[in-house]
Amino acid sequence: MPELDCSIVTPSKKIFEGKVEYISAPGKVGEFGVLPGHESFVTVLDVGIVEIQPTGKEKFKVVIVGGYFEVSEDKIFVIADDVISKDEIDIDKTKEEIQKYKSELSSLNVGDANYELIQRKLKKYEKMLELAS
Amino acid sequence: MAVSMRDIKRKITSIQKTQQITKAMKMVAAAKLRKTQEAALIFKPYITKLEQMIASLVSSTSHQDNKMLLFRDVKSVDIIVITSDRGLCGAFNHNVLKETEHFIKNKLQGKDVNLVLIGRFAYNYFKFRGIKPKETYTDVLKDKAEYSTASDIMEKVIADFLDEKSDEVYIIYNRFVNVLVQKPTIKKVLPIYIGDTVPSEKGMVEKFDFEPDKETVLEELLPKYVKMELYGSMLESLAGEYAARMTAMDAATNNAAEMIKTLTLEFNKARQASITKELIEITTSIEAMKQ
Repeated sequence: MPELDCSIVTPSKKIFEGKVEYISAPGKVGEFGVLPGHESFVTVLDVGIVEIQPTGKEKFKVVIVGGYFEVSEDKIFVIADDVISKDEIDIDKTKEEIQKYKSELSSLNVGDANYELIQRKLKKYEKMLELAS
Repeated sequence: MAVSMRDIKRKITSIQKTQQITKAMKMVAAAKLRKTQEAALIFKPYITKLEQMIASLVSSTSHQDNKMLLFRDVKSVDIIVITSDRGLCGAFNHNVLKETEHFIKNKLQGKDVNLVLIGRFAYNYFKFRGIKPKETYTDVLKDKAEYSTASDIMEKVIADFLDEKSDEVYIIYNRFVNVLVQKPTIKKVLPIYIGDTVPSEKGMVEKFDFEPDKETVLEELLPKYVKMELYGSMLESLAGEYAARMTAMDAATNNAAEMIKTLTLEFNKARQASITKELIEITTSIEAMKQ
């Protein structure tokens, strides 16, 4: 069975390193999946859910916040701004954060300095809730 | 007898207690230093990789309109100063703050300087001098440096730079040279200059497909790169802080040992003096009784 060498990191920690059969990630221009033998390419990631199928292990998902994604010669390399795994998520707290950012966002206009930042944060928590439930 | 034996004993006990504390602090700092160094080790290869990719992208795209790479006339400068929140680390903070003041006085004359301060020491220092910082972040570098913190801080700085509220951005921090040496360092982070220091791998760009295109990827990578530079500086500063505290506490422990030695000597002298005095008293009274 062909497989990919995959390493996912944030600047402060290693998230995953190992062989995978399949990985899907949220690209800026749309969701994509990578199987062994994929053409070499580089893209940037949005906020969203990454699905990983490690060889011989159970499939798992994590929330990823932005990042750089590179595949070449069956090696995948991802640097993300932040990665949150399922067991790190506190549903009640996440709901609170969503409320907080929603109200913050409603007081801002599109194009405000903080608008995009808050929007990204909101999306992160929404994806966390999606993953946890 | 100038000082009583009890007083000396009390002093010795008190110094011994201080010594225990400084010894413990040294050990704690050493452990934290190791952790921070490990974090820095994890981080190094990625920034190198990103640097290479950016360097090869810069050399292969037309990026005339990318503001983060363009130099412009400098009217206003942002300086990010990284210090610690807690003291007891020797001249660690002082060095960085002196360097900052020196830099502003000598290199940035006539320019509008805005400070972004990290750490309570920087905040207090400039507050005392009546300088109002643009932003202050305290307690963000407590036990470890978080990338998300660096990212949040830098996000605002980048936004100001892109709005042309600032034309240049510097980071001033303590570079971790080794456990004994932390060097105050000035690093220019914006506009980004990727010079000949980064060897761009030949054919690196041709190997890849870029999704959606090279320019967009570059545009996304540049802010990340700047944020990582800040994160890297924060890590180094933190490592430096622990190293400085370790050295300072080691010196304090040694000084305490020295003092205990001197005091013990004094105590023994005092004891000997009191014994001699008692003996003299006894012998004189015996002599007196003989007569």
